[in-house]
Amino acid sequence: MAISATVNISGSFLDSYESGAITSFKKSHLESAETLTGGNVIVVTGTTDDSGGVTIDPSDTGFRNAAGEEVSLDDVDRILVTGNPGVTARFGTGAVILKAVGGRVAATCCIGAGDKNVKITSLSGTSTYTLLMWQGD
Amino acid sequence: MAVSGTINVNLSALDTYTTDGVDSEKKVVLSSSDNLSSAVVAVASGTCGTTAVSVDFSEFRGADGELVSWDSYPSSTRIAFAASPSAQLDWDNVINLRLTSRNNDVAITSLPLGTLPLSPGPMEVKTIVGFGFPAPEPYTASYTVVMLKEA
Repeated sequence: MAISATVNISGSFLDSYESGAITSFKKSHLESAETLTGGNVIVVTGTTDDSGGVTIDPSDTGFRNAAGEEVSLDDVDRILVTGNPGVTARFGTGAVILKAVGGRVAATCCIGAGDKNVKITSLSGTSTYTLLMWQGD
Repeated sequence: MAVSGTINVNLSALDTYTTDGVDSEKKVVLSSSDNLSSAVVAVASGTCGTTAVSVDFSEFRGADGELVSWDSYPSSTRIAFAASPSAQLDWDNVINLRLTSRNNDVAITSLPLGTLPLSPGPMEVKTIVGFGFPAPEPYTASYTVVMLKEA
């Protein structure tokens, strides 16, 4: 089993202003491109609600790798989540680490989080979600 | 002044397994792409240490040379954060939000409908020490925060 992965995030914003014969542009661009080699990845999809939510234990999700073996993570280095209409993700009862709405993907790094269990809660009513967690070697 | 923008997030992971006469592959792709036709964007950069510093958007100017106004918050906002070697962004006073970045790998999140008060508290940035991957001595990190409010 061998994992090779890329994470690409980019945001590009062009601010334009016209006055008389003058046109002014200001561009803001933020980008990162990571190559993740090795480690393990798990994906969990489901439906959650706005009351109790669901708690994902990365050591016991039932997700299987290409070899057909169950994947168990004892640490988490990168988390991505998407949800519709919208979800929040947090470690245990700690701070919100991600919010994702309308099928947009939200992403963060994880350093020293301690509790690796991620609680996914819908912003309102019920929401579908997909959670991806990666642990490096 | 008119801001148009795009935000793309893409993860692609390929898991391969080879055994006698068999090659097995499992691919995972998670991606989203947004085109924003009308928005306001502000950028703040700086250096932080183990003591939290406030993120200051007040000096960012638009293409018209005017300071970007944040006097009212829209229905939707996105925040992107990058730091090196590592740092965390906290917005505790408002929504108890925490983003973490290392090696300038971008963390990005949405702030959806109705969660922002009109006068949110300051964002704060600090380095992470005492855990598995702290910023190296002297425990300082550079950071950039991009805040986007959609119309």
